[in-house]
Amino acid sequence: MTFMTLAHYLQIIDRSWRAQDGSKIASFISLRHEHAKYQNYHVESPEGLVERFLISPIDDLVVLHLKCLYYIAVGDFLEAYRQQSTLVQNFSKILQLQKEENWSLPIMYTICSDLRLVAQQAEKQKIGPNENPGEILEKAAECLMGCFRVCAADNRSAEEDTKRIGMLALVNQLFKVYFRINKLHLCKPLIRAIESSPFKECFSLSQQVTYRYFVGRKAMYDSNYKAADEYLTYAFENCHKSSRKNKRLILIYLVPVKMLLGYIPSKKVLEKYDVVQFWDLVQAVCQGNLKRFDELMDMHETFFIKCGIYLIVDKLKIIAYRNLFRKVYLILNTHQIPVEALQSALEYLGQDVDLDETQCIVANLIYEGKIKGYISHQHRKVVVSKQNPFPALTTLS
Amino acid sequence: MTFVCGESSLSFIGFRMTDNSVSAIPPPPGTENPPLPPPPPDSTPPNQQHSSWPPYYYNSYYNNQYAQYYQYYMMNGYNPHYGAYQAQLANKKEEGDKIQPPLPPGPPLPSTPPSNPRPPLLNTPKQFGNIRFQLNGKRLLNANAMFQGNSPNSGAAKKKRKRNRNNQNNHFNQQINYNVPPLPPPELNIPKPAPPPETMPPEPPLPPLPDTGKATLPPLINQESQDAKPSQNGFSNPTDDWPESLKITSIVAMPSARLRSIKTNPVSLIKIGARNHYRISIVKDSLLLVKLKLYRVSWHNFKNNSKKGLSPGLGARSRSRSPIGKRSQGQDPGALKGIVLQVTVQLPVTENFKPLMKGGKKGKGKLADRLGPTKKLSGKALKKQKARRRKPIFTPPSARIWKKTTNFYNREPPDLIIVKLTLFNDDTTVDFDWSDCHIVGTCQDLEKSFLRLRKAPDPCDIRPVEVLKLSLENVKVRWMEKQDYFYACDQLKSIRQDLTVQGIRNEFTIQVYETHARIALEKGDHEEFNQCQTQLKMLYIEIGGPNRNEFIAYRILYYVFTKNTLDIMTIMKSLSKEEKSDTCISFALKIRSAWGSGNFHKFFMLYRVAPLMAGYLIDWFIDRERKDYLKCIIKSYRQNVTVTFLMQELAYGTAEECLEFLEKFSLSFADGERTLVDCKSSMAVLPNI
Repeated sequence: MTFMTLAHYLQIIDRSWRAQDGSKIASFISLRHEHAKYQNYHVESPEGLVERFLISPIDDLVVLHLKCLYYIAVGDFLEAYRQQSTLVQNFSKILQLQKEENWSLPIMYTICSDLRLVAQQAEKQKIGPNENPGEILEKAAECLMGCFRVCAADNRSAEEDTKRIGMLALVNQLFKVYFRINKLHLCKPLIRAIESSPFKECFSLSQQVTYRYFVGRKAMYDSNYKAADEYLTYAFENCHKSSRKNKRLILIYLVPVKMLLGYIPSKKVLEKYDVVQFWDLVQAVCQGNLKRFDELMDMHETFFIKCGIYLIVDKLKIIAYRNLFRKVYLILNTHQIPVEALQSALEYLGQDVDLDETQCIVANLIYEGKIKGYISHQHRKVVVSKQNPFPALTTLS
Repeated sequence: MTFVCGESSLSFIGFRMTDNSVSAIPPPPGTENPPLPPPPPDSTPPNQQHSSWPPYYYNSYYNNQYAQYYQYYMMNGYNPHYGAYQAQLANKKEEGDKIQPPLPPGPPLPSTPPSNPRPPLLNTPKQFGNIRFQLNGKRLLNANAMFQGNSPNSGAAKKKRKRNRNNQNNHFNQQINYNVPPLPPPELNIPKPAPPPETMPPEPPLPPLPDTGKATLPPLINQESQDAKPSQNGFSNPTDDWPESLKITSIVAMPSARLRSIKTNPVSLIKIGARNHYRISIVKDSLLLVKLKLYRVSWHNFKNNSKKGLSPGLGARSRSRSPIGKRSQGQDPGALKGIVLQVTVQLPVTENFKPLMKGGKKGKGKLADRLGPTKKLSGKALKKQKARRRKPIFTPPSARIWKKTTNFYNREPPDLIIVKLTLFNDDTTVDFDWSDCHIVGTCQDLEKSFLRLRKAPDPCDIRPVEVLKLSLENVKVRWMEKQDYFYACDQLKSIRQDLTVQGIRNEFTIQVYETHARIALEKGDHEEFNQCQTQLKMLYIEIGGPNRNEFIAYRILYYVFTKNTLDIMTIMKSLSKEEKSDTCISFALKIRSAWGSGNFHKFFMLYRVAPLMAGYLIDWFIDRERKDYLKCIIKSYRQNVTVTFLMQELAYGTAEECLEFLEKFSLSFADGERTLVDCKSSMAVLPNI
């Protein structure tokens, strides 16, 4: 079973290269393209054949591409990664030499995301405890940075053929790597580069959605929930409706952020995107049912940790405290709530706390503005404001 | 093996390793030999000294030291080690009789320059008989011999003698099996330094060495590396364990006049790593080694004078190479697998090799001509050298001048020692790759200051594991006595460096990093702690260790300190159920949870009961949390709060300490005695906290 002969394939590449058809070459040099599957493309040393069809510099790239295919076929992702990485490095040199033209950017997009994917595979495959986890991905990121620099430095070209338009795609690839290896601090200069770019609004929507998804996540980890909300909401609203998987990913981060800010997701949307894990949690938080909350945290711990939102979801407990205390306040119907009353409510819900700890929890809520009032330590009373003692969370800054 | 020592007028010492003669002391060839020094011990020396070693070393000292040290030593997996140590010790005792002694130290050499004619250097390997060893990937059997790797039995000039004292005292292990010839009197009065640490897990009981009546050469092995990885094999058993096919033909060492005595060491090839790399080195059995520098390694076609048992078709091509560890052209290191090599180490004994003093101009110039290449070779010189490589046998000996290192402890410039190493093989087609060989250090200094490496390390500046173990012990003792962090940090860093350049990653490495991490923890050195814990993280993955959970807990706390929620998440992701229930880790997780949800009360309650050294780590950020809590209290409490309440909530031991903390923020007090903080009027200073 063959796709097309290697010679034919090389002819197509040759023609496209001469015609400067970037996207055609891109698809034909992609590891995910159909041709990659066929055995006649798995050649260990394709140099001789390629040289007959192709001119420099594209011949180099194709040789490396075919070698990479070969190593993937034999299952050696480490070596495949090396080939692909050389491919990207060689390409960045070619790119640099192409002044005033950016038709080859699609090739860059393709080979860069291929590089990342191969690096991920290689990372999985590498054995031996001596090796640093994430080392290959880090190297791949360096390689991508090489391309990024070429693009970012191209500020002489006219707007229609500047390579700077390719920056965002690279930044997104780099984000993917950095998030995978937990090096979020490396994202900062990239974000700055994009935010200050004059083409900020010109990048394709899909790239922008990806970009905001990552920037939003980063803001969330930095406890900047307002910004996180903004970015993730943009991503969620603009993500193509057929990309349910991506929308779901965005939602996983958007839901806890929104909840921290006092917005409760509807059951419908949670069901639609298959994140019903949140629904029970939403209810527990709304009711101030700390016992249920703890149970749910235990139950979904793996899911939350896997998504990297455990610590954020954990913070929802503070909201649950607030809702519980509000209930106690409404039941007692007094502005002077005895700390004992709050403590027994907490204990009833399985919280092992003493008076001082209860006070501490209340103090925290007052400090954050979630309760208006003060604690009288001498009288062991929480004195709440007569007007709106539990302001809506959405009104808090 | 014969050991010959020159008299006062001699500065040359020849070694002889023969198959059949051990106690005979033939004069070095070509020398009109002066009277012999006191005879070396018999092959089966009395063992009576063994019992005379004070228990000090084995028991009380060791134990006490730790008892005083950190609490965790007693709590955490130290004792198992100790038990293992004793078990090993028992083994050793049993085997004591059977172990061949290393050579005794020779009598002191005079420091006068040599005047005697020396035996010819070249073309004389046969005169020195053979030492055999085997290169077939077999694990070394004799751990005790390894243990003896530090024999103090040689010395050089004054400085060396000084060092010698330490070593002789340290390496009691070597001395327990034979009579030590009398040492120069002053040396006997030196107080004993720290005993050699032994914290390795017990080795399986080792089969006794065959008693052949020959002197045993202490093998060069890095015990550590053996333990760590099965793939690392040492080949250094000097006695009949070595097959006929592989012998060290001879080792000739020519120390300068200032060398007092010499002990030979087998030259070993050690297979390192998985890729069939070998490193070559000389056993650090003697102080000679401190100064010994392999200069040139020659690979010779051994076909012509090959001995029985040499298998054809394997091999390395004759090459000369300098210095060791420097790389040559790439070739297949795998080709050496299982080959038989013959090694000759020679010292030049010609007139031209006068001892070099302090790198004096005269000597240098003269030598430089014949020394051949040093590290920096011009292209021409390189070519020349290459050409020379083709010469079949005995390339001219080369020497290397000991470079004085910028050492904190100011070592003396070394005596000139020239060693020629010749590896015989029957195939001339294969070269081999030294490039990623780790060096094996030869430095015997107990203390060494940290110096960032700017070039490839020199084996003479690097301490082997045996010495490092003593060094670590020394640092611990000094730390307990003086709590001098600068010293401890400096020393530990240099130990770490020595371990790194030698590629040693095993339990001892973990111990070093743990020690440093703990000391850094206690002294609040964030940077060093982070370095250590990063290394430990990897070492635990590679090797594991009894204190793994403890350090995972520290790492969680460290991330709380750095507010690195992402990495906390990564750890949590990796924790198993059992690990989560570990005392330390569950404590750290509770702290994390209290900190994450702003439950200050719980946080400070936990702080009061922190296990092991976790408290020290929390100390790093406790004030940050105290400030946060204080802000919170001032904003949410009305009228007043008592200082006593604050003291409890902020986990202070006394009201005074608490007041001291509060004073920094110029809070308003409601009363003159300052027992009540006025929260409302203190609101004004809230932004300053």
